[in-house]
Amino acid sequence: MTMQYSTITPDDVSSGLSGMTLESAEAASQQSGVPRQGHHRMKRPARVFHNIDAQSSDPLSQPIIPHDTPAPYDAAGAVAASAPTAFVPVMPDMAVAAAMAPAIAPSKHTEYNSTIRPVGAGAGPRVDPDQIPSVVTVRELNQKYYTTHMYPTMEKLCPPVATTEYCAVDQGSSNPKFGRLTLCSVPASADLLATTHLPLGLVLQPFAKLRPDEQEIPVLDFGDNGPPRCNRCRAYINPFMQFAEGGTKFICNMCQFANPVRGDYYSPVDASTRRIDRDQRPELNLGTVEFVVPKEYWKVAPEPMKYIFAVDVSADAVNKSLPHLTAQAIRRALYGPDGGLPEGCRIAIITYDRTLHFYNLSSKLSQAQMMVVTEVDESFLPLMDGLFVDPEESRFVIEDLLDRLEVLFEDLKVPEPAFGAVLDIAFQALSASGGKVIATLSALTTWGPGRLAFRDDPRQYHTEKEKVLFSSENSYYKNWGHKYATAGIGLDLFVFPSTYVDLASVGMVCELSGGEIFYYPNFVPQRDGRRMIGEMSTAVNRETGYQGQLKVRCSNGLQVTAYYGNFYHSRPASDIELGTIDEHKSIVVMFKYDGKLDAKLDAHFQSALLYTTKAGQRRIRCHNFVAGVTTQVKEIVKFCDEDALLAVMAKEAVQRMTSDQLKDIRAGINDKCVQILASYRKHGATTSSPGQLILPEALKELTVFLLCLIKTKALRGGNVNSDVRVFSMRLLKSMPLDDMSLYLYPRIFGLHNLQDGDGFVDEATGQFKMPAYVRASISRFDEGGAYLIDNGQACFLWIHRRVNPNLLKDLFGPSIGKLEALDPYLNEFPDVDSPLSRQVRNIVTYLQDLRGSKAMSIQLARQELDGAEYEVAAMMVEDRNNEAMNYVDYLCHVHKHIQLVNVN
Amino acid sequence: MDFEEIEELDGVRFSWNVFPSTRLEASRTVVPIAALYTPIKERPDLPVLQYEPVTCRAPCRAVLNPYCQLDIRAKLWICPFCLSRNQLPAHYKDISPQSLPHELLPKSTTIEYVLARPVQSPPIFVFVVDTCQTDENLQALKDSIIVSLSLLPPTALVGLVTFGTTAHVHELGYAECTKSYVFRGNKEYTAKQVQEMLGLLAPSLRPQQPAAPGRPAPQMFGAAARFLLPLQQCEFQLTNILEQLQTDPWPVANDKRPLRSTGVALAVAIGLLETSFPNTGARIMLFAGGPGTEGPGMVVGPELREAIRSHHDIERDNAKHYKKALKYYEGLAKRASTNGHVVDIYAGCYDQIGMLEMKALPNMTGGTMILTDAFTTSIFKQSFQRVFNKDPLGYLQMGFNATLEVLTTKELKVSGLIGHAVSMNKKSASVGETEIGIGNTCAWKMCGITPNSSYATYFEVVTQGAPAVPQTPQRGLIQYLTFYQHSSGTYHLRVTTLARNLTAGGDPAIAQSFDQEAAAVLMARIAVFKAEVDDGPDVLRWTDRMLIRLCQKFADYRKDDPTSFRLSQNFSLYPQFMFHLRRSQFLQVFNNSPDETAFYRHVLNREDVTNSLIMIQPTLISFTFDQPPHPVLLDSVSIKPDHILLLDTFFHILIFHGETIAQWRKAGYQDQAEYQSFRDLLAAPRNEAAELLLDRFPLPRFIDTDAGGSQARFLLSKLNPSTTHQSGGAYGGAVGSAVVLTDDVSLQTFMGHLQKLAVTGTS
Repeated sequence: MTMQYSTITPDDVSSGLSGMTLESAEAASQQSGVPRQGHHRMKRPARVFHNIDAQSSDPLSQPIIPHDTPAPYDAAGAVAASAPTAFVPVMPDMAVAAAMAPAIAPSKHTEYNSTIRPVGAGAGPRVDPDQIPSVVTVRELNQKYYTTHMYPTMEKLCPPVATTEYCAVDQGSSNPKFGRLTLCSVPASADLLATTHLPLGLVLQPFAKLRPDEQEIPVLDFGDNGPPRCNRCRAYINPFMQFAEGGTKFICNMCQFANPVRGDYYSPVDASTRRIDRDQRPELNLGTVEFVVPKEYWKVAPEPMKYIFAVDVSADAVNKSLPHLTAQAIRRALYGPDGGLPEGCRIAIITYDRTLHFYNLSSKLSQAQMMVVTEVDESFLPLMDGLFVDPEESRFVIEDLLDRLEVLFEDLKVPEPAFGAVLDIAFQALSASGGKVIATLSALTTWGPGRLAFRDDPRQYHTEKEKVLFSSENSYYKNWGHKYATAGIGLDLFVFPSTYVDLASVGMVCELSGGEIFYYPNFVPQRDGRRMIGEMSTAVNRETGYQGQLKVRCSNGLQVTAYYGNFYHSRPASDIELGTIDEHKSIVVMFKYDGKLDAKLDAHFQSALLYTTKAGQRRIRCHNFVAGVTTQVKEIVKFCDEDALLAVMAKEAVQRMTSDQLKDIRAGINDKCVQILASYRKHGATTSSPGQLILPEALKELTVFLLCLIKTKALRGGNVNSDVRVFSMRLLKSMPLDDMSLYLYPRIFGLHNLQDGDGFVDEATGQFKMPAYVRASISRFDEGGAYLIDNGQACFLWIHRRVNPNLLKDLFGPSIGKLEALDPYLNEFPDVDSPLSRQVRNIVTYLQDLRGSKAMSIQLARQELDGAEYEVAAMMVEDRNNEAMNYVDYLCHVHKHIQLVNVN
Repeated sequence: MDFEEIEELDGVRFSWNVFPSTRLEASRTVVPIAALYTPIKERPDLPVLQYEPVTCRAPCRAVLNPYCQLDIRAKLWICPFCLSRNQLPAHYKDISPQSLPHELLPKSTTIEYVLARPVQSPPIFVFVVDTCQTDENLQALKDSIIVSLSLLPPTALVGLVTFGTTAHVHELGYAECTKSYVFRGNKEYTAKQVQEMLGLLAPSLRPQQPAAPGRPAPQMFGAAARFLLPLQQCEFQLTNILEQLQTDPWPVANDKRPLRSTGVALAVAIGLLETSFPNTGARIMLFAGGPGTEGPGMVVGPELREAIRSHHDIERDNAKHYKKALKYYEGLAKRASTNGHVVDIYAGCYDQIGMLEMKALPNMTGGTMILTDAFTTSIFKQSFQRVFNKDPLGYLQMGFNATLEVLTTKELKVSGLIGHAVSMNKKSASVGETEIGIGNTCAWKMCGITPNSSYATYFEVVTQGAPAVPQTPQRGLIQYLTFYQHSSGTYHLRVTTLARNLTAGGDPAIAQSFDQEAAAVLMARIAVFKAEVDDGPDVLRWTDRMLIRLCQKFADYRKDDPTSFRLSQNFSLYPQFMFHLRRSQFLQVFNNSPDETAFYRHVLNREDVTNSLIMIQPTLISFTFDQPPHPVLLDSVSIKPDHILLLDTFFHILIFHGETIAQWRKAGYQDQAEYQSFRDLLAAPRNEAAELLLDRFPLPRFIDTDAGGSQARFLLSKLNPSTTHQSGGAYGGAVGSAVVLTDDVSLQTFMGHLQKLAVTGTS
């Protein structure tokens, strides 16, 4: 790869940046090779009716058709004829719009934007936004490459961009889906690393989901002896261990210690010291393997996982239809098409308001028996047999109970959910075995043990005291978190608050036990119920391990300094404990130098996760990563993994939220960005004029991503209630790379200008074809357009006020002629018999498959109609919003500071 | 009139029917003046009056009776107890000697009034069911309870508490699913906590918030209605819950007993009723399948290697849970009795269940105690059904919330009562100084009362010095006022007024009026009452001393000549009764578990003279060819090879086939047509036994055994050991009679000693 950097050359520093040039011609061709404008503009003869065509360019010349008059759109005729006359965006207030937009030109969306763009309408941008590095471009190019290529793990290339769908081939180093180093070329010394200002870390996602076309992880059983390990550093056998002395010794790739090969593992070696049986031994070929481990690795005898569903049935919950929805969710999780727990798993259902209700679900009964425990301060289990039951064996009783769950509490409406007692009781039930708790919570828990006060005070915002709101003052929750983690219990909490719920406190258990919070502020059952059901089902059925312990080992010369993520770390030197860990959790491991690395050798990293599978087998999942060692700053930066770096920086930043003020954290991010780029400029870049902004090719989008990070709800300026910040904080801490990339910079695409093959599998590549993405700026939106904005968590459907009614009819059915006719709580595209509808529904289904823990549910953000429009505006990260600059300004700001740093 | 006729009429039997007239004379009669009274004894010809009784003014409150002096002209009556004059009510204006109201007729010494005040709520039944049982046992129990529902009046309120490791109160008014409130099995709950947890308290948002002042107390009935519902309303739901009831869902290790929170379950049941229905007729029925092993009131620890306490352990103060448990259940019993609630205990377990510790509950509240080996036995099933026996009108033979008040004329005072009751601490002129049983009061409360419940009341004569020679024979009067909730939903008042002559100490009439049967039973009650607190040997010594003194006083003898000792007919059996009482399970704990002792004593304290006497000295009937069935001596000499014996100890009914009979039976002669008479002989005791079983409560255990059979020990232990391994000559005892292997003295030896001591004694 020759293209390395892109540079921006301003001709006048004092007046900001005015132009950009690309250092490399190839980069330029890449940039220009993709017809950016064309994404929006490209017409397809058969499908023109959804485009804004030439005729619509001059709206004043169009006949004004009233809203309720159907647009002259005949599907059959439109398909047959390529005449673009069918589509007419019509609006009564055209004249006003036209006056506000003096130069509406169909080929230039900028003019269109000027009418709605909230910022920067006055002074025109001095830097052409199309010329600056674009996340969208990188994502699309990278995806395009990996659509037709595999990723072989042992070739020293930076892994694909996080959002890319790819197929990796494990060649000895693990699939980057499981873990990525921030620096694929590791500096040889601490000084060198310090020079670059880059962090050295490993972003692990041990349970990452593999594609069906990737090799499954082999499960190896070495019997009672367990897997072979290095006697000194206890590293597990892996492809990089060298066999010597005729195969009787193996040399550890981490610590170079020569271990004797134990008798049952001996194999002769050939002339090149290669074991003869190497090809039959997955642990010597693959970076990722699983070992079944013997008794010495057990805390307790492993058994199939137990689940507790703790359903809030207090007044608030009933008002939000939660008992009903949760019942549906449990049913789907257990018996749905994608559901079904492994054999032997058992479940319990508990409901609670001010009291705890247990259910005897024994299959011997014809109906569940409810048992009420009112002593929440000293709660206890009223039963054991019948509390946990096999969901298949007791299916009749469980389903019967689920059917009743709503009516049971309809008339009771007891306020104040005693969530603290639920934590206690779930622990009592699971302390001996470990397992998973899935709880719902509708309000601040003001009853029972660990009761909380309403402590969210906007007067504390932006002060020294704000950070207190982000951590729990109540040791009750921290204690449970510790106990859950050590007992191997994870808590997934579904929160449906009307007001403050002190997420910092109640979510503490999730954070420490390796669970997850699902947060639904402004929950509307009709709209969000579907999403919640999907997410609970995911939470139950995703790949999960429990009673986890994670240990990362690395080459001599390096050592682990810190872990970031959601887990319990009792002592700095100990392994981290994970009550549960699932496919949607990632953990960052940071390294420091305690010596020098030999540039001739590779740097090795091995993560070993000891856990119990859902089906009740104790295993170790071992991932191995290898990276080159270098003495060159240029090399380091060249093979820097931007996504991993971003994850490390983000997790580091949110980790500070409980100890530092937000403004300092934001400033820290800015400083770091400037330092990295300035250092590169000083040590790594080829000489260039000091006025040029030089962005290393590998870190081209770092600036915009960091701007996005500053704009996240966790860190942004302005008034954001503390629950929202805490939710965002914990989310960022545990998020895997692909989710984080989207969370920071959403994927946006128009529905009004889909191409022919979009939404279908491309026959040439066999891959699904997504439509072209749009950059996150309102100015890029077409007038009359409809866009899906998806950040991996929520998905908004933004529709321009003056959308063509035909588009609505194609998407939502013939009865929907105007925006107002849409159900504001619409959450999915209805099944409409139109090519467009099919395409869009295909895309939605596809995105659902890609998503992490969150379900795909559409929320309407109709221009000037829905409140969600503000959410959409906030997601337009390239614009000036969220109390932060727009992308161009930020770039100039960074550039200015780089110059200042390098001058000093 | 003989004693039985009086008993038939008034339900009362006195030890003496003529009283000595002075305190000193009375003390010399040894056996106290006492009466065993069966307050609500069934009597077909009992006058029942549908109007309010005429009572003397407060505080006397005596009821107008045939012994009152009446001034018909002035329409006045003089109360014989306080001697005050009372105006007859206006509607009595037409009375004349020819037309007296019912209560003044001489025959109306016992009369019942049905009062106008209606009962607040129908009777309540709370089933407290142990779920730590085998499936079979639990199933049988469930079936029995479900059957019993059909025996209850449909308006009766019912509730269900189940317990095992934890205690559950079932919400019967919840139609959506079976719902229960759970209580920890190992925590002591106060009544207030129970109410709070069941949501029976004022619906204030937080417990610390005081209820708004001035607001009326919340309607308890409403809240409790979730747990206690009219049977007709919740029968379906209750039956469903019972049918679905599973054994306790906690695993039990091999070396452990199941955790059984009997104490908490009872506390919860009592707490539930206490708030919602104070002073209302209610019955808590505990069905225990084993001992409490958890929480307050535990009888034994859950470890199997810890054995349950024996009499021996208790004597040596070696039972570590005993005193605590006893105190705990006494506390509960006090609460229940204060609120007028009955607690029954039904045990269905081979092992002990802690009846001894829990005895206060039935004893103080007038509950039932039934000890059986399993709920699958017919003893349990039928006994339990008999709890719900009905009178001819179809009402349960079950009185609730009874109070018994005793009034006496000035010569007499009441010393106390022994029976299933608690003191109401009512002081009056009738209260004596001496205390026998529950004393220092003239009124007692029986939360539950049945037509069989009999109470021993003891009196003393208080007249000092020699009375002036009376013009007319002096009379002492006693009036029993029993006020109770009849299961028909009305309050009834039973009034029994008794008059007995008082005479000078030397009057032979006194000795002639001695009712030795009643006296034996009344003395047995005192002995048992003493045995509860005193050491066994002390009680035996006391009974001996009392017997000797009685004989000294009333026997005919020449001093220091035992051979001259004679007892008149109405004293002659008394020493035998005492002999058997000494040997009975009531005073001897050997060979009985503490639970059995508690049970036997409980029953003795309830039954009337006839039944009690069967318990003290069992009856033995002999069946043989050529002779009609005839009672025989309760003696080993009665065992004969060609006789069949029928023993009735009240708790056991045993048919014992003599050696020859047993051989014949084994050979199957009874199945051959020509031995019809043998078949008839075999059937005769069975028919007789069936008759005995008819109205026996609790149902006795039926034993069919042969000479030499292991079960024959039940017979041998009761027989007077006149022929033991030591008696008789070298050939091993009297011909034809069995040998009882015992070191106990025989009746003959006992009598010999008695005669000797009586004639030589100086006291």
